[in-house]
Amino acid sequence: MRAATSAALLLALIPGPVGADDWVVDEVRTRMAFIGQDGRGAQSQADPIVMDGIPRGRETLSVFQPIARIGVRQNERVRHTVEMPVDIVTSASADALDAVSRASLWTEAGTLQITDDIDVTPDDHVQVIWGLHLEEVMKSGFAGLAYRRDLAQDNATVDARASLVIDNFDPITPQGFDYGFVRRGTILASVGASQILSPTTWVEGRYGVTIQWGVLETTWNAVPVEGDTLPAQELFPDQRVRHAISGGIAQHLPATHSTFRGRYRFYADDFGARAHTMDLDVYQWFGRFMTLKLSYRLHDQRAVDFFYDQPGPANLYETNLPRTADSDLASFRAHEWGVGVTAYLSRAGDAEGERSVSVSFRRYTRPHFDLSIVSLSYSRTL
Amino acid sequence: MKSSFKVARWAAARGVALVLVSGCVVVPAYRREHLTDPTMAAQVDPLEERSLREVHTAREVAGGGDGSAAGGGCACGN
Repeated sequence: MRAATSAALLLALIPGPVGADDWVVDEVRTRMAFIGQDGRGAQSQADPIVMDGIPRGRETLSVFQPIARIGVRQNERVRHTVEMPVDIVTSASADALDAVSRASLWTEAGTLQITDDIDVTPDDHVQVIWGLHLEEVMKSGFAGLAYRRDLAQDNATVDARASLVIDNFDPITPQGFDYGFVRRGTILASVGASQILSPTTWVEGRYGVTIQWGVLETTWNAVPVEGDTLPAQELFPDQRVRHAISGGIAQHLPATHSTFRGRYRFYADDFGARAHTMDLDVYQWFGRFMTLKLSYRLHDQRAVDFFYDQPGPANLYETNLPRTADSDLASFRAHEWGVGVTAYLSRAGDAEGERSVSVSFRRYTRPHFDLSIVSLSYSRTL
Repeated sequence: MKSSFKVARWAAARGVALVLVSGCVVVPAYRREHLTDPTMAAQVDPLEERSLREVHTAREVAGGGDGSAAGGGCACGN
């Protein structure tokens, strides 16, 4: 991590081709979101009731999520972006331990991510990403490197990216035991391409692989078992390989001043999980200064191979068999729709740059679970 | 699930074919006015995309694999 940070700093200090560094703030974005979640899952031990033959605890929580992003152009070739998301979560992991300690009644998490974009040549671009993430029981550091090549007079791009994430966290079992800090590692690598197909159409595609090792389970999740014995602790294999391939298209219709965007993503991993996700967004302009956005997302996933949809055997906690009852890893189909309005206070090319204010609402539903998001955003780009 | 794989492979093959067939068309910069529309940007709202990615990664099995964080940098084990 220290070496990656040093490398990033060195790359960021590469001088521009002409004159001194300018250090102009060319992007400011802020977003405040409130997320309200309600549902029931077998992994939770809070106020359980039997549904579909298995005790399901409450998954109610609220998240207040302010995010800020600032972009600074150092010179003609180097630009830096700083992102600072914060999560303030109530009742993040309500379980039997919480009934005594109220440990997750109020949890804060914050991330600092710095992205350095360097134009090596007009067609070759290097990006360095690094930062850290802090939660009450977790400290995480990450670093990544990306390369993009523009082709055919910027009509197409190809890129490759790789990153490493190291998590250190303090797991607490559903029975309240604390074994001290453990580690989880993640390597991500992907390749992608984009292509302009016409003056109103572009497409993109990406394939990526993620390799994880270490303690991969959430650790505090419970797996109900038969009888009156204590629930077993969730347990994952200590290695996981995940693949995803995705493609997207954006189509602008000048006659109606509308834009249609679609994206499909297929996911598979060696835990046995499979998922198909489809996103559709429609933007409609009203005059030059307002857009309406309608969104729909369909997500269909198959559970991991070691998912328990019924109570496991009473002696399950004595074994090292992989197991989970986490409702997030179950087979389900989720629907999500959203609506948003963006008002442009000024458009690109104006003296003060492009400034906009957005408000949006999204609703996510699946069996025994729903979630709503309300957000307010402001952005200014030069 | 096998049929799902077939559909995914068919869609991917058609997508690649479409790009290969159309890739030889070069749209000059002066004809890209509509491509510079804010709603056609690669990332229309990067903060919203980031927030939604976190929401989905923490609540679904299918995060990561395409260059975005998954399990790493997140206390969730999904």
